[in-house]
Amino acid sequence: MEMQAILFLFFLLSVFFSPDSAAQHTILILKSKVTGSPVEFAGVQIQTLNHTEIEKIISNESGLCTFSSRLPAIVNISCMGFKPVTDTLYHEGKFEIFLSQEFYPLDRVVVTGQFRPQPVDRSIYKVDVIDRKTINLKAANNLGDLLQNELSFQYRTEGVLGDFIRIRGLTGEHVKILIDGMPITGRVADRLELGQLSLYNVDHIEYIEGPMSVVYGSNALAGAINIITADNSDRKILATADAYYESIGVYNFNSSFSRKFGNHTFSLNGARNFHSGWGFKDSSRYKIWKPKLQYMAGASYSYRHKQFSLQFQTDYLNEELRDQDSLSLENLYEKALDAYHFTTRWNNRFNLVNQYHENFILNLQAGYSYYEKRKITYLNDLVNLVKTPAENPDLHDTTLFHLASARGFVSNKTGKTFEYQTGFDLSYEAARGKRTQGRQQITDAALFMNFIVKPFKTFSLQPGFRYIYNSKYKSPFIYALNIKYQPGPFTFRTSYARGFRAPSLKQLYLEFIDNIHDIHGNPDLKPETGNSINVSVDYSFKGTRQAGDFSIIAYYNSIHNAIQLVIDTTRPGWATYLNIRENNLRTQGIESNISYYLFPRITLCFGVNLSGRNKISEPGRFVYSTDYTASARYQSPRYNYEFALFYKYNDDYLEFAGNFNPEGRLEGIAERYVSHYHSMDITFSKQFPAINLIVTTGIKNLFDVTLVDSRGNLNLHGSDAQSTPAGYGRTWFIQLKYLFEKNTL
Amino acid sequence: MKFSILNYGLSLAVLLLLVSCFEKDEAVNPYPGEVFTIESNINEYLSYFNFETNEVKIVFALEDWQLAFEPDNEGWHILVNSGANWFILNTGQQDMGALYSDNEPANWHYDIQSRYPDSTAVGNWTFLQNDLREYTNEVYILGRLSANQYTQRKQIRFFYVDNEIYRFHYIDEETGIQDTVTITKNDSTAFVYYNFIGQNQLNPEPKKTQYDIVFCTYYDLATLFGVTIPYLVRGVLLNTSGVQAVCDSVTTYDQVRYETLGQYEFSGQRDVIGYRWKDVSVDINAGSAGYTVHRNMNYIVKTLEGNYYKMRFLSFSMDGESGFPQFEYTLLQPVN
Repeated sequence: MEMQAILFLFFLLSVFFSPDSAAQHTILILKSKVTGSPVEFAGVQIQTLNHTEIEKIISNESGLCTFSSRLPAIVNISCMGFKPVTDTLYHEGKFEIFLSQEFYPLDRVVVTGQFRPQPVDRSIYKVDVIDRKTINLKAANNLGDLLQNELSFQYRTEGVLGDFIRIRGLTGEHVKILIDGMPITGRVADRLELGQLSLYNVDHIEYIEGPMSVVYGSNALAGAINIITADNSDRKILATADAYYESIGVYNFNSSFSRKFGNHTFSLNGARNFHSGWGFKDSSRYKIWKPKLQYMAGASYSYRHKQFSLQFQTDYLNEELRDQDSLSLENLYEKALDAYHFTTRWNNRFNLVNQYHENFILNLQAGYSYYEKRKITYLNDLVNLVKTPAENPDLHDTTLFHLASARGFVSNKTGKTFEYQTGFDLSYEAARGKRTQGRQQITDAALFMNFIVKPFKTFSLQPGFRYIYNSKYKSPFIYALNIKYQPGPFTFRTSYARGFRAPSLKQLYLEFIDNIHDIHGNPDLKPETGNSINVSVDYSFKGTRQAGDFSIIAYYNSIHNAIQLVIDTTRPGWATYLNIRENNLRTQGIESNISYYLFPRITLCFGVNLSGRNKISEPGRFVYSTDYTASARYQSPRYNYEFALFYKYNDDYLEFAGNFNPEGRLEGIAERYVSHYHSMDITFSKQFPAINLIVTTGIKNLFDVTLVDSRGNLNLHGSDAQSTPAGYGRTWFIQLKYLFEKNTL
Repeated sequence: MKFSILNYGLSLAVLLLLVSCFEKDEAVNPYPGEVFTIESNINEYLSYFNFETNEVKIVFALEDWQLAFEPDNEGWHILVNSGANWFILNTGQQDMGALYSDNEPANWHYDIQSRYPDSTAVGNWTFLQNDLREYTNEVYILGRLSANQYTQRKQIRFFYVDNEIYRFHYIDEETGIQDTVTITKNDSTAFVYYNFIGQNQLNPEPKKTQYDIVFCTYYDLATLFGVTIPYLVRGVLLNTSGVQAVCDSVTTYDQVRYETLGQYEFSGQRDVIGYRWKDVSVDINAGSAGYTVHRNMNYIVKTLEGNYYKMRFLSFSMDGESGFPQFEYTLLQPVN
């Protein structure tokens, strides 16, 4: 039934919304917004308002297009490498139209950490953006796919727990993940499973490295990642259908439809993703990458009128993940214990913005996030093909999280000598599970203020602070100071920020007791607090046909009261969580990026990231990893194709955890070393404007990386594991993206 | 026309994407070999296994005893049930009823199975001097480790042993109950037991000629989080009355044959088999513990009857619940 519905929708998209065929001398001169140079090979479609005439032209090497259609008419301009432009012409003449480069980062508008949306180069924070185009070229289906080859992130996958990242040597629990600025819940292992954060309805990703606790509260100690969903309110009708196949056994399909009625826009979307899993041995039932099937659905409504906007969005995910036991001698090759993990995520967001006055802009947000994970383990008798729930209650579990949050702030218009932002944050989170001693809840209320003072046009100063009340622990007072100086092509930024991370409900209330274990949460935990210093320099230049930018950033983080699992050497099997007061967890490093743009064809990027973590046993001594990334893109506006290559070198990585006694004294070090590896993806994408189709194909993981050497373990009992998964081998993929749009006039 | 082709092509692609689903299980053949399962959870019971008769002769509860005594005429060693977390402290004093507050774990002992009988937790509470039996008369404290405290403490003074009996006096520090207990020896078994809760002697073991190995729980040194500390382990101990064994982790199970027995040096050390045929790993996030059995570790056991058996462990779980060792074994006989 469901299949029929999607097929039907697909037919609708491709049959009923296919472009109609449809007519004074008018001259358009197309130029690059960044360089001012002419844009050639741009497709220009002129359509009369009554849709009776359509004229199609290609711009010449001077960016000129001449047409004779009756006016007024709608002009749609599309060109590989530039963002599409739609405009209405009412009279004859000669018009200059400027197109924005798709890959030129300084032209992007960002919202994360901002008082109001503004171009990234005006932001006092260094905001990185991964745009939709890059997401498509990387053929990334979820956030884990996308971030694994990004310079700033170290990627790991952990079986059932999924994909996790590190930023600046700090693990995923120190990273705040937001959707449209609202937090989401479900940190099962203190971290969110990035594989459950699908990108099919996402416009772009913004991330900021370094503490953002003043703005976003707990967890934003290492950074914040903000997933910005697609906003279709600038189109009258938009319909998309996207089919993806990857040779490892990935079969994804998603579709969306949005319609605008006056100031109201309604959108619906849905997706089905299937991954058949991957194991090192083809013959084994056991898979390192677990087979999973996801169904997603979403809806949104938005209203915009003058300076008022209102949005409501809801997203639903249902995932079934199967962790199949290997058919081994241990079970006499007869039986297997298969764990089925059923996850439900439901995220709801409401956002209201109203500009009463240019000195009083109200922004209100509210959200509700629900997460449920059920684990059912079956004893699978493979001789008789009979599956029964396992008798051992420890093999089943249900975990629930609810998060209700509200956020509001007022600010003035950006670009003024004095800008302010002041607001509140409220959140209520509840969790229930077998390991959390029943239902537990935590309430957090905060007031925050940020100011931007610009004594000179090129100089900005942003102090900010956050006062927090929490129902479970005494919260620290959080403050930050950001400074930006922008002389000519240079941008100097420096910041000091104090961040914090609240103990998770698991760390507070875990109870894991069996025959040999006695592991407890600690309700007396204090939040981790961090001090972070960042210094960065950016240089950018723009020529007539080329542009480039260079950035270098140095950082230092020191986290006090780091929460860690401690054991007692005199009490076997006993463990609890403690704040480590004696040794601060410290990281430091340098990250540098250089990009070159030869418009519109070539984009080249290179980056290096040196990140270090201090050795617990030797304060002052750091262990470093040096990662490299490189990417190259070539696009042909004339033939509507593009080629991209993404490369990353992941350096050797040494993780370590202190073996602390119950008093928090260090008694030993557990280490885990993961060997280096290279990864490279290549992509070829071709647009077929006549049939509104984009075909993308390529090869992922060209070096066929699967398992990499790993030694040591941070596990409670240690392990002799010799490898850790880094990839599922070389695969090829193909993606068909059908898009129909009718633009607003 | 081109849109029709597009429609058909894309629809077919969508169809293919939507029919993708989980693989179905394929039936397998039953395991061809003979497998023996210890059906009483090793966390709760001691199981006495006999290779010749292919059976567990006797099962008894781990909680049923605190002290074990050698019952043969010359026997005087006393063991402590560390499997149920009982430890013993030698105060070095002789004053029963005095206040002994030592809670330092290093002073509380358990029996190290590999050192039996030369060294025990109770130690040399009696000794021979000029062929006369002498006693230290020192006060011991038997306590049960729970949440880092030694609870249910009993002060004990062992003061007599001969060919027939043991005698000791004890005071329960919590209840004030005190008694003088006589343990009657029984030469047919390896040990006799005493239970302070029922205040009675137990003789639950099969005759020492009727079993070869015991599946049980006890304390031993194990590596935890990179630190080697005493730890509660589940393993196999030999019958101390003459059963011997050796471990071979180099030769494959199939290649262990009667003809290769000459290369082995058998040992009567009680924990030759022990617990190291498996490893435990804990997943804090999932809140579960799992066991990995090292199937390359083959054990060759020489029984009291003089037969040789090779055995290897296959699993430590039964239907998903741990504590049920599964193993296969084969009598080694000369070819022809």
